[in-house]
Amino acid sequence: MSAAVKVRKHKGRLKRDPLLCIMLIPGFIYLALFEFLPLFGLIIGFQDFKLSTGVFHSTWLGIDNFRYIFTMYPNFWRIVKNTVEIALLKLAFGFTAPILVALMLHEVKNTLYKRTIQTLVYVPHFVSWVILSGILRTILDPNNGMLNYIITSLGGEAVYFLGDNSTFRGVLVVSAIWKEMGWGTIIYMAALTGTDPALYEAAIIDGANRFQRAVHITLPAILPIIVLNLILSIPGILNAGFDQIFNLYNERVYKVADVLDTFIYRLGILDSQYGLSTAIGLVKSTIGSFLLVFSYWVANKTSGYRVF
Amino acid sequence: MSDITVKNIPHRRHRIHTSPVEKCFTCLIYGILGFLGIMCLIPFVHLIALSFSGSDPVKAGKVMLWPLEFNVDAYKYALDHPAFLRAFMISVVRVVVGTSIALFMLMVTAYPLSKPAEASPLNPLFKVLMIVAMLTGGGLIPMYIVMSWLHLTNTFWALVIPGSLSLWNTFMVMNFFRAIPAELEEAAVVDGATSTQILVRIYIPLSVPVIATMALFVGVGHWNDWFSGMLYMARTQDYPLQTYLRQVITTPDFSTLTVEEMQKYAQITSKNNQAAQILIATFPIMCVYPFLQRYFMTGLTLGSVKG
Repeated sequence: MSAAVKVRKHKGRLKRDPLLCIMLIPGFIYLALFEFLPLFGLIIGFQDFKLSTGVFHSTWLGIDNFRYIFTMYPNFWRIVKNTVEIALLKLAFGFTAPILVALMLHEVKNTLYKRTIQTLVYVPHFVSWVILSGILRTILDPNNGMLNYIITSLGGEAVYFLGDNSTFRGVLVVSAIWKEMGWGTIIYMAALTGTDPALYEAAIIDGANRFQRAVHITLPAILPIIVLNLILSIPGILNAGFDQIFNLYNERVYKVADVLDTFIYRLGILDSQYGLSTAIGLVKSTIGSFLLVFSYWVANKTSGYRVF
Repeated sequence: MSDITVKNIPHRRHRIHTSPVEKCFTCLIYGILGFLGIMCLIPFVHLIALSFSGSDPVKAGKVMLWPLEFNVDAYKYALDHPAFLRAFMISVVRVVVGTSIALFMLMVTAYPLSKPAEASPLNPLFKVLMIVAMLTGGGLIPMYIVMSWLHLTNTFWALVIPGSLSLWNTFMVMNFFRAIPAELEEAAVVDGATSTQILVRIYIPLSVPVIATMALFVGVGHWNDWFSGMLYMARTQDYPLQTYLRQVITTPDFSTLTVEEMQKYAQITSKNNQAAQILIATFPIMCVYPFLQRYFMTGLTLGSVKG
């Protein structure tokens, strides 16, 4: 009884403490300047925006920018198709790889070996796509790259991996898996540490072999997280990976590699089509927001997932 | 108890472990994982070999995993190259300043948000604004216009201020703060501590793993970021390291270069020099990585796996 009274008293004291409100001020300023002010800038998506005339004096176009992109801009739908295709390809392979690696890592009983492998496979996650692009360009160089050296010494013909429409997407998928495969296992490994060892012992007694144990105990243990992860990756469908593609692509492979984000960048920064670029960005982020809300709603309904 | 059950039937357990199929299965798994581990290492080993090799075997594509015609010219070149050193220093300062600003913002925002609305009346408004901000985005050009309107473009601050408040991390830390027993705070209040003192003396020391994880992510993010340098900096001498490297690595438009520039460019981008510069840029990350590895496991799984 007396304890409860005490707590209430202190809460009352906290209530009068204006420090908590003061602490939020930098956050409010940040949100206003870097999150909400740019939202007003979206207005240029409806304008024939010129740097010389600025946001307030550029010609108002209404929805002309949007109409132009959707109906007349050459290659726009090909870019949309590229985006979704690359994102789905990466999801299909990049999503399953960490699960397989986690299942395998879980089977390793030698702690030193397990730790070593984990340390090694996490490393690429911490390296930027600029550096990885340098590494890939070096290894895949058609003239003196390591991979082509191996191919030619085995009697094959050198391949220009980064400049060929038939191989470029393969490079994207493999390099994305290589970079994030290890990092993606962390969440599954964390879930697996919580599995009850008694389950495995019971299965051993019942005569289940290691493969059966992996399929019937380990996999179901991480299944809820697999489902949750899959649901939460829905909004990524419009993000094919700007950092990666932008640092690897070139004019030769625009046909298969140009995606919305690279297009928005080139249109806005290199071609100075500010209005058009912003208009596409607006459409993309609107769809993205809906997908995000949708995926969180599904995640909340199916897995009880909550962020806030 | 379960141990005893298994021990009671040692015969059976023994038999299962020696089954040849199981042994093959184990070997296969160790083999595949070993292969994956080596695959993550090989590109870096190859780069190390290139950076220490003479330029002729590199041009001929003969260098694999061991340096040929060993020399350290590429490193000498990088460390004598003012543009590279300046970009390196910009990135170092950026990591220190940027991480400090981000951690400060994280603490002063997450702490009031972890309190009930009665104690911190601005919380509901702030949370609504955060969610709206997470769902919307101005995009590339509006952001650039805001930055130049604030006179931040072409200044160092353009590299550290945008993104200094990560909304996602704030929610993470907020949830962590909420899990800290209220009794600790009550005791401090009885002793006459203010909110700031409670944050600095109780919450922050108890959250070291989370803070270390956030610091790691933010720091690595700043070190690895190349885009804001490319977007906001007009002059190449203001580029941070990754933006500078991007310029070195990607092929430029040769038609715009003079013969002299071409020769200079060929030297900068010779594979040995590139490899050495890439490795120098990766080195700092590899140095801090082992120390922080024990933290990111706890920190990363903190907000994501619940119950």
